[in-house]
Amino acid sequence: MQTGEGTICFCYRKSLADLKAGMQEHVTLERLQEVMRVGLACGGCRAMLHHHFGGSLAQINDFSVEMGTTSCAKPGSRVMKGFIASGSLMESHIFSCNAVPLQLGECDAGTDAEFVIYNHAGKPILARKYRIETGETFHFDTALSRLPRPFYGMVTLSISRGNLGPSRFNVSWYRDESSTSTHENASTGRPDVILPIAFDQRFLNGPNTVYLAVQNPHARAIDLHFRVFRMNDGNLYGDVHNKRPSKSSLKRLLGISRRSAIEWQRRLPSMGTFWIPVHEEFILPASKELGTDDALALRIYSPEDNMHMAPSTYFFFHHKPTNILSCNHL
Amino acid sequence: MNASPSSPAQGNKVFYTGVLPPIKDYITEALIFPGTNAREPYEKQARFSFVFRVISGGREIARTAPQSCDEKGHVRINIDACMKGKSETAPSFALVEVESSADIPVSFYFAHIHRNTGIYYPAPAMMFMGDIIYPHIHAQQLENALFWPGVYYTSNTEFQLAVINPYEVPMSIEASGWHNTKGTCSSGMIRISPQECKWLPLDIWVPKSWRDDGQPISVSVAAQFKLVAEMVLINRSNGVITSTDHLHTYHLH
Repeated sequence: MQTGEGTICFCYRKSLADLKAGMQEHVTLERLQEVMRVGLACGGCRAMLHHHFGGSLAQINDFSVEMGTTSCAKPGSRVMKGFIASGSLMESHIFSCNAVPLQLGECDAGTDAEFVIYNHAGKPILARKYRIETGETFHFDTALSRLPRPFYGMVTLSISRGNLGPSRFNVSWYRDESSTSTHENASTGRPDVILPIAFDQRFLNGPNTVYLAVQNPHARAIDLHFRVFRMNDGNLYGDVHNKRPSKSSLKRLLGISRRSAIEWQRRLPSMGTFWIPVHEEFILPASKELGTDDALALRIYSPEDNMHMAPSTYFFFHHKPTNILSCNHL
Repeated sequence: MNASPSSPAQGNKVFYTGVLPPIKDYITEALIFPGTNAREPYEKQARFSFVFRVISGGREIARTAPQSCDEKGHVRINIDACMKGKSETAPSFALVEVESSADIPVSFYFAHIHRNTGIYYPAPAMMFMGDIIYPHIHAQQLENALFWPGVYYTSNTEFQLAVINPYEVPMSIEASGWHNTKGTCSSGMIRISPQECKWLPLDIWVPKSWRDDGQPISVSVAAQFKLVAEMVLINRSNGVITSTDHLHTYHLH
């Protein structure tokens, strides 16, 4: 059970305890607001006031939208999905917290949770059940598990509540020298993304190596396309012909004999994961075909799928001289 | 309540923000391909324009010239070009004005490259209201109560909570820590001036006994307005940032 003295009204510095004491004296929310001014400045706490005390809120400015009722934990269930790795490059530490904002006051948000790890092919290899109490942080460390190494796969965390919050899990990928972190991605809604990296000479000759973790969080396989294109005159969205272009002297003279993009296709099984060293698998082979005088970029898309069937993509930088990792997701 | 970071909204202008690392130590770029969202179901011949502003200590210290592209193009923004002869007076943040002629959502990332080592970390640009504070937005999810699950103290990484106030009115925030057996701790109430970015090192406001006991901690931050807050991970051996990412809202439904 969570108890706390969270601040409700930041404008007038009133805690939940202040307001409960005030209600004893003033009885109605409107009267309380008149006296204590809570919820009458920015309005950001009005949902909280309604949650705790119900009734009518005093109007402010042009505020005309009535707040809905709220509670700490809604009935239902949620499934979250994310990437984990275990091996010489990195280990993974997963965190999910069952805290409730202090402003919501005393809440029992305890939840049952199921934690499942899937290997790269989408096969479940470990499943555990937990009880996560209110305010508790759940964590799982691959370094302390018996996963095969090297391991790249998906983890799911299912909770028995319908609303999310701090329960959205983060993964910290770490090694002795450093750690980096981002959050789970149950479904990104982005079936078409471009890695925000310009693979130019400076980057290719620099100290960073890029890795991708691409996951399929859905119930059927996804056909993924990986397209490397020249940024300034490249072919981002048109058809790609992977055959070498004609080497006719006229075309060479006109400068249109170079291919503008190269594409690879791979099928990613349900709940499966691709772990891809981007330089070796895509950029270096493409640069031999597309040339290195212009920066290259990488597009990842699934042409047959819509926003409800998008893959999840995480990208990692490994700074070789210091062994420092950094990351984010698309 | 008007709290415009610049001029009032015009057309389809949307604002994005993100914490900037110290500009003397980092090059910051943004490589943006807005067309990835312009394909089906949109299929509109949209144009996009971007203005990248650097805000430090409550004022704009630099801005890039507007750059634009169509659905099949891209823009590449480097803030070094507009920072010549200028310096930060306080922690800074980016404020990016994006106009899309067809209401097409744009997602993009900042790339922060450490000048001395070349260590590279990406961070998402966070969309926010920009022009007006809408109190009733909190009805569905508490956008003024954000969480970061999982701070795990190791010898290599320091955690700092960075909070941006992009509005033209002051904001009060309070950060809280959650420990599995020791309850909660608080940063106390902290005022953030208009258009200011504040970094709150957990080494300062989380008790040392919590940091030393090997148990994970989770963090929340609350305020009266919609918040933009990021957790910054810093390598203790060389001071280089290894990631920043945003906190999550608490959903009521």
